[in-house]
Amino acid sequence: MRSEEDARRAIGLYADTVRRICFMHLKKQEDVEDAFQEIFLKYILNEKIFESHAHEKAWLIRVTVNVCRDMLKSPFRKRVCSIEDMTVEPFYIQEEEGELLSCIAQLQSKYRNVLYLFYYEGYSAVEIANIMHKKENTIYTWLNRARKALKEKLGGDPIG
Amino acid sequence: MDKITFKVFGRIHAEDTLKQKTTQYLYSEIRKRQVKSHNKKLGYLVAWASIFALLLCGGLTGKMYFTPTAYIDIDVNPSIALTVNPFGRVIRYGAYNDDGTSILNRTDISYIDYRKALELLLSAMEADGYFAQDYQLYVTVQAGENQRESSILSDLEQTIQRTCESHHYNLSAHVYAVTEEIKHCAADYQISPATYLAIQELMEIDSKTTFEECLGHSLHELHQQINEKCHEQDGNGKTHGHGGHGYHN
Repeated sequence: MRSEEDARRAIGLYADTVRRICFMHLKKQEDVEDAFQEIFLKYILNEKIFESHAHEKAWLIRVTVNVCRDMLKSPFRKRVCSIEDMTVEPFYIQEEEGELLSCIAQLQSKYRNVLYLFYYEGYSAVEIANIMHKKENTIYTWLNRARKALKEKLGGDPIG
Repeated sequence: MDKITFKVFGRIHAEDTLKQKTTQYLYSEIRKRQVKSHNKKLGYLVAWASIFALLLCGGLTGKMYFTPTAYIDIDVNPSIALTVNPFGRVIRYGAYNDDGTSILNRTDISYIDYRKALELLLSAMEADGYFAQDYQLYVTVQAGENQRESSILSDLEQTIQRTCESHHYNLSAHVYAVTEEIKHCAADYQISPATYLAIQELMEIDSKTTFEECLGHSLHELHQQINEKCHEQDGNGKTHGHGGHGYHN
């Protein structure tokens, strides 16, 4: 089991990344809190020695995606987000950004994950394939479909 | 669609309260698990220590149980040897002659109290008619420690007395202690200490008699010869004995 210092360091380094992935999957604040605690608890209970920060981050992303997916699958709690719910986001999200995030939130979770990891975190398709335990070609396919779906949802508006 | 588009993700941060709550939760979990782990280790330690102590006690008791502390030899004509442990149990037994073997084949005295063993052996011998033939009972004890030896001698005398009374027969019994040296010498010749001493006595009375000549004779025969020699020498029929604690009923 890892120490309190390890826990503090991991939260400091990876809290935002974990929060963003949770944002893409979970609506309710209490669900986000539960997921957060579960993810970092898994981290402190895991005694795996990471080769680097990048390795550690990739492991946490993988765990976060799995935890969110498991929470959504749970038959006892309804965590599925409606489009309306997803527009209710932190106060610091501007309206235009809120619309984009809302559109992203409407995509399938696998598409949300690859878009985030590819465009925001800057992982290559090969790296995403390793994180998600999928084939490289699958990631490319998902990326293309995700881009296409997002464009359709945004009404073909050019973004950025 | 490019990376700039997705800069919007950068606007999402983990709230401070969320980080604080999670940190506090993790700290409490770590402490809880550390205490559990410590208790678990302590539990394992106590369990292993208990097992070790039990095994040690068991081993020592087992070793002690099979440690001979006294040797009791019973000789009528059936000649039998018992080895007794510190708990007074018969851990080994054997016969010096065929009559003894015959008695032991019918009498199970394994791991029972030596007093009970003597009682059973006397009953078996009585059933075979040895005591009706005016045979004498010789019981010798070698225990090394005086106190234990005295205690065993006393127990044996009481057992003989009680057995005679309950079965209503007369028995001339001689119960006495022998030294370790006598016990060893007798064991070397595969005879009881009582027989060994009788041969020694016979050889003292009659210098022509050799040890080897006497080896084939039973204790009863040896005592007959001693009596005859004494009669010849003294002409008064005085019986030689070992002066042990005799019980005559």
